[in-house]
Amino acid sequence: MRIGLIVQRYGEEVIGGAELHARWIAQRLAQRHQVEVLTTCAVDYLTWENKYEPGPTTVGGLPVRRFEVARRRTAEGFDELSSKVHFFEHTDEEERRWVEEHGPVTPGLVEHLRAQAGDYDALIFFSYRYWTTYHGLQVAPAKSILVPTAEDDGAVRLRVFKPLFRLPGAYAFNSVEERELILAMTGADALPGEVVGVGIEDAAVVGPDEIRRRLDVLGDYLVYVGRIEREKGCSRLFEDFLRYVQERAPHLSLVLVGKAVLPIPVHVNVTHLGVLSETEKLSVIGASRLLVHPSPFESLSMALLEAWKMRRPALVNGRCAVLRGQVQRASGGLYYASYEEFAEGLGWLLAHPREADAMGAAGRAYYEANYSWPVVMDKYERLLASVHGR
Amino acid sequence: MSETTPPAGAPDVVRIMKEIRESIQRKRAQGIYTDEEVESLTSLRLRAYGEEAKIDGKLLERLLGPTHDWNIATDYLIRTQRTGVSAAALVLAKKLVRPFVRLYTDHLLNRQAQINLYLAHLLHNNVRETARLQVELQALRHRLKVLEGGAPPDGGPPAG
Repeated sequence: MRIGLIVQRYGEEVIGGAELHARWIAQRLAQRHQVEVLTTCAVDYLTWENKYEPGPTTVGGLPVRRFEVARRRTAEGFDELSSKVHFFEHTDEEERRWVEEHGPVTPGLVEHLRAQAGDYDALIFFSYRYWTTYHGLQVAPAKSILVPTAEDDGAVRLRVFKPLFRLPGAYAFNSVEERELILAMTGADALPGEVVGVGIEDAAVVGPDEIRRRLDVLGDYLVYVGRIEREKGCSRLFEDFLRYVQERAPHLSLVLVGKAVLPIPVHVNVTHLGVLSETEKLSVIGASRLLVHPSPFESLSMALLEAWKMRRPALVNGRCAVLRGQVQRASGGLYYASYEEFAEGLGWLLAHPREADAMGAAGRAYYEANYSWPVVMDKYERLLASVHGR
Repeated sequence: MSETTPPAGAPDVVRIMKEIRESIQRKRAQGIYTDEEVESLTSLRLRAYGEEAKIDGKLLERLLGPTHDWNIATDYLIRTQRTGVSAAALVLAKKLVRPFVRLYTDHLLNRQAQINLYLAHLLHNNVRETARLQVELQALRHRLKVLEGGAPPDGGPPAG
């Protein structure tokens, strides 16, 4: 089958959950199909500045066709409008302008799709909220599979997306909660497709002592993995964790893995390791007491799956329906909605190591049953078959 | 295919969370709150009021933050959505007019900024004080119940 995979950014330097998700799926699909990635020349989603050369290239042996972004995203153009369409009364025209300002405005990509759509047996679009998906999906919706990566964060409720959500030939949802969310937005009884998600790449893992020595991490710690930013709940996590350390556990550390967008508190109990290799990241998770995930908005947390792959329990933000639902279904950890619940939940996991390990093991079983690569790719094959020939 | 349920024998997360919440409720019923918890309660309430009023989330964070950068300033940004020569001309015109406008607006805006600050201070302290009084009232109610023999001192279920 000839598959076009459309994603807003693509490359080994690109950091982002949805983009990594897209790259892993593209690489796995390429083992059985002819996959071409259609993307932009941008690396940074805040500016969409063209960094890569336009035209055909290869990334990790996969053919990639890049298109120039026609206009940069600016804080002046976007922030005020975004605030208006999310929090205040606004017009449909303002929502359409939001899509344009949000970007990445890449007319060349859509023109390519219009001209070449017949050459592809299926198109897979990542992330509903970007210009590339909004306009690209309208070209050949019946043969398009949408991986929405939707979070319950306000953008999903914009009226401009309602007709778009009814278009795809099939959906590859990340979680049960994401499917419910999109169903609620469309008002439909059912949508074609299934809950698919993504697997976690295998990497050699080193033992706890070795990784502690290598990265100079001492004592018991909880680990956070992902972009360190306010939108991911990190500022609240810092407050909660430092208060917990002060009140209850002076020797407990918080280890942060990922790119920091937010200033990290300078504190003896907080260690920032930066962006790590897959081996180091999985090893750091494996040597931790638990993973903490404070994000209020997620469609699927790859960090949570990584923790379960490493048999570690998680303490997640219970206000995020996706994280809470996954933890409940997997029995893979606890959740909190206030500082008291954070402190009591963390205290419980630290005081009950056997039960915490059992939660990690249950998480692993859940991961294998639902998100291991053979399961995920079988689902993709079914979805591709359902849109093929349309 | 839907997501499967965890294997039998896995910890019952929902039950554990229920126990944790009950333990928190018991402490609250006894009025066991530290100063930090009262502060956190206050912040939660202020946040909830903000969300109820549906104000911009970023603005709410700034309102609840330690700085006053949310408050109005007499100066204002000059910008335009236009591009090219007309944009430059428009910005220049606005810059030329600004000093005259500010002659009349600076005084009013300064006063309004002071009033905003005072009202915010007053309301934040009011919410904090109400939270503290409610916590004290809860503790007193609990003590009264214990003295009347209605509940054991640990805040558990009534003795019978």
